[in-house]
Amino acid sequence: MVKNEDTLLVNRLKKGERKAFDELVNKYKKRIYYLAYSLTNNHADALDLSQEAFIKVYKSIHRFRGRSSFYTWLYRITVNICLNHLKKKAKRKEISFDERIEVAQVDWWSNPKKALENKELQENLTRAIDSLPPQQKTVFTLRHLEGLSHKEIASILGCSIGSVKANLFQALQKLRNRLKGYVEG
Amino acid sequence: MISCRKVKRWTVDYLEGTLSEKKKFLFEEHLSKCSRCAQEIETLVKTQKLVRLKVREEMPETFWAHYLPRLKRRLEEKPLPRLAWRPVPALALATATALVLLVVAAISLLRTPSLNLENLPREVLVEEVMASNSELDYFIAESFEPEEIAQALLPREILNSLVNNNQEFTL
Ligand SMILES: [Zn+2]
Repeated sequence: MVKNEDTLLVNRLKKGERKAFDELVNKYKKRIYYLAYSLTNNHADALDLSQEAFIKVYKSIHRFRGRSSFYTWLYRITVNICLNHLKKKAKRKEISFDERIEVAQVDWWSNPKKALENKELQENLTRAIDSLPPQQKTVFTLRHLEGLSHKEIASILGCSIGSVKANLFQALQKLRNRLKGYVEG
Repeated sequence: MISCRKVKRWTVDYLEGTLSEKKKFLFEEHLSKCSRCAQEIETLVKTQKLVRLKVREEMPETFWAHYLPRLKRRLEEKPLPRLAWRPVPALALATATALVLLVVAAISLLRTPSLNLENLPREVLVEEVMASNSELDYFIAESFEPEEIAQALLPREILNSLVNNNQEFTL
């Protein structure tokens, strides 16, 4: 259903119908914005980069052949734009990925609901995820924050499922090391 | 018994519950005999549960209402300047002017002792600031504190002179 609806919209857009573009943007703006936000951890960047992705869709829709679904294509464009941005940023600023975050004792384990409202914990989670290398952060975000399957992620990133799993494993290990105070003892 | 290396390779599928029954059995058998892997997996399980507790702050509906119009302006290549933490010279003159108006309006609101801003809803404040200059994008006013914008973008001496000369801009 969703796929058909997108195909119709894409076809209308290819014929030059601006309204079809509006509909696609309105349908996907939240997902694309939050994806960019998860990757950049910055609202101004997320707005800028997510809109850049839609502009790219608009300008290169004639090159979309429908071999993958529209949203896979859209995600791929967004992820590539964000990855480029992150790589440029990483070059400017060397971050230590293994630096450990010092934490106050929080009993999140026996009371997960409280963790949702614990501001310090939430900030530390954001910091830990944000410190991952771009590729690992992307795979991790698509899996755990966007809920995509390994296969979908592989298709979006143009890599193998094995590589997706390897990135997930490394990301999780790094997060564990950074968040040791929460998960050990 | 399977090797520790194999345990590593199967970990993601184990954590996500996608290992076959047979592999899961072998995996757990290894954990029951290898305390190093058992400890490793235990902390990874906890980490995965922990990161899933991360909540995302939602953007307000007004932000979404402005998303498409803003995108269309960009498509028509009349982009609104992007607001970032950079010094004034990097901004186009028009933006700087627009910002100065916002900042002045905001500062006059924030610093006029007769106005008690603490009791004023933020949306009202933002709307007031927006109403003073239609060129400014809603997002700019929405996402950053006016004082933050001012301090990040404008040199101290300009700020001072603005504060001293802001009467005509008072909302
Ligand atoms: Zn072992």
